[in-house]
Amino acid sequence: MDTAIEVKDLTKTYGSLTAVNNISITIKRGEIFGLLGTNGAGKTTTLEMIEGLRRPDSGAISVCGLDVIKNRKDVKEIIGVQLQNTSIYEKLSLEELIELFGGYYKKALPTSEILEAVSLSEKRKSYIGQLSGGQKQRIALALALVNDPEVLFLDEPTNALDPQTRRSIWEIIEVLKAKGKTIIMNTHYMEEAERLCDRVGIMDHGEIIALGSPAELIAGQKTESLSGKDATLENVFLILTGKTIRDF
Amino acid sequence: MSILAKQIRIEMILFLRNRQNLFLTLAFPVMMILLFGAVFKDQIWGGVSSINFLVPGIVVMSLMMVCMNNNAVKIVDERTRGIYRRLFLTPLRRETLLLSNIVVRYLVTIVSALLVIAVGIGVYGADIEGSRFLFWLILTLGSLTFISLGFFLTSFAKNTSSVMTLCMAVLFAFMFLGGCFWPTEQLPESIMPLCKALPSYHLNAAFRMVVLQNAGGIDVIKELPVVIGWFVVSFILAVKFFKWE
Repeated sequence: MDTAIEVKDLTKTYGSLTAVNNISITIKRGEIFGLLGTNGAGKTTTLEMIEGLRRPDSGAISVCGLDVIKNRKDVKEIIGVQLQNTSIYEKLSLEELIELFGGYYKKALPTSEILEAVSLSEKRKSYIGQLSGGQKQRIALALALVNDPEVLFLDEPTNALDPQTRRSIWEIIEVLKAKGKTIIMNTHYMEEAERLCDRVGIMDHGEIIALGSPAELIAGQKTESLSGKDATLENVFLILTGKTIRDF
Repeated sequence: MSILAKQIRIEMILFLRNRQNLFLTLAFPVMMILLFGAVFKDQIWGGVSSINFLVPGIVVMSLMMVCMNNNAVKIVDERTRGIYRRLFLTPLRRETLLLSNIVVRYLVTIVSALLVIAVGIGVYGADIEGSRFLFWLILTLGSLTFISLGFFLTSFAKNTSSVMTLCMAVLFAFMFLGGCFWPTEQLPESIMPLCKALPSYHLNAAFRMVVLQNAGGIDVIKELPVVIGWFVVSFILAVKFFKWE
């Protein structure tokens, strides 16, 4: 079967606010799919519904053929999740933490392999509380990898990181893609989406307003208003979502 | 090793690596028995030497601190930091996490009680007799009661400072009105009905019956309906209102 994630007619409302409005997405196995959008566009809510953290008001979600709501336990075994600002036991060493998480799953990768994958082998005896921001981000990624998941959810994996650390995380993600993992990620960095994602969906007001490969989206706007060095995903994003700041 | 055993081990490691926990649950009760023992040295209260009276009282204080205050703060801290949210993305079951917390609290309660008794005997020559089985039984009931009450109290608190304040208010009322540090006969008659409604009052009374009068099982059990009531009600309320996230 070729489909990793199938989302159909997904809706979530909070009071009078429709956070996610009837969206459908199909993500192929081995694909990196990026969800882009302004703050409050519904990206995190969408991810959290697919992860099973939030219950949708309506719609259907399946991950590797399993219904996320009905088969919650089985889905947990095959997905890995990196949350925005993961906070975890500060007084455990990296090794202890990875080992602990590995114990929660039916199958888990060896701790040394996980730490190697995120280049934190030398820090294995350090407490989580002693790590830098970039190292914590990598540990959050490592926790998503312990069960060798088929599908990975990355919620702003390089948020607030320096360019070097950001690139190191990109490299980790590219290695995961080469291993055939399906990855769905949120990001505010268009450069990141252009480099990593096979396809992106741009969300606005809870709806997907554009869907395609970064190159397709750029090509779609090219004739109208973009040319030369302005032909970037960032400019496409600004044209589609407007230039007004979306704080609320 | 089962997931539960691994989780208990990790919860214990985390407990021991936190100095604040160690101080509040182990060092502080010892300091209190040393302090009160010195202040009331050689006094006779209701026909018994003050130290024999104080040891059970400070055991009850430590039990409340370990099971209610310190645990409630820990739970709210982990909850507000999003640790449970992350943990429950894995197949870890809520029951496993809950049970591991309870087991650690129970073990620490026993260690803390033994420390207080050892210091009472070793430093002030306290005369602790009576049935060890009954002592253990009362300790277990008290521990489960205050663990339940602590879990229930976390449901009112949005952050650690609010849960700390709430638990502190409850602890102080329970300690002073429950007769941890002096006989409640010294309090005004008018507030006795309130004192007798508190679980700490009856835990103190039951412990003292065992260690001072070598009381039997029937007499001790007659002292405990109020505590059992607190346990049942706290347990039901905790189940109903406690939230992991």
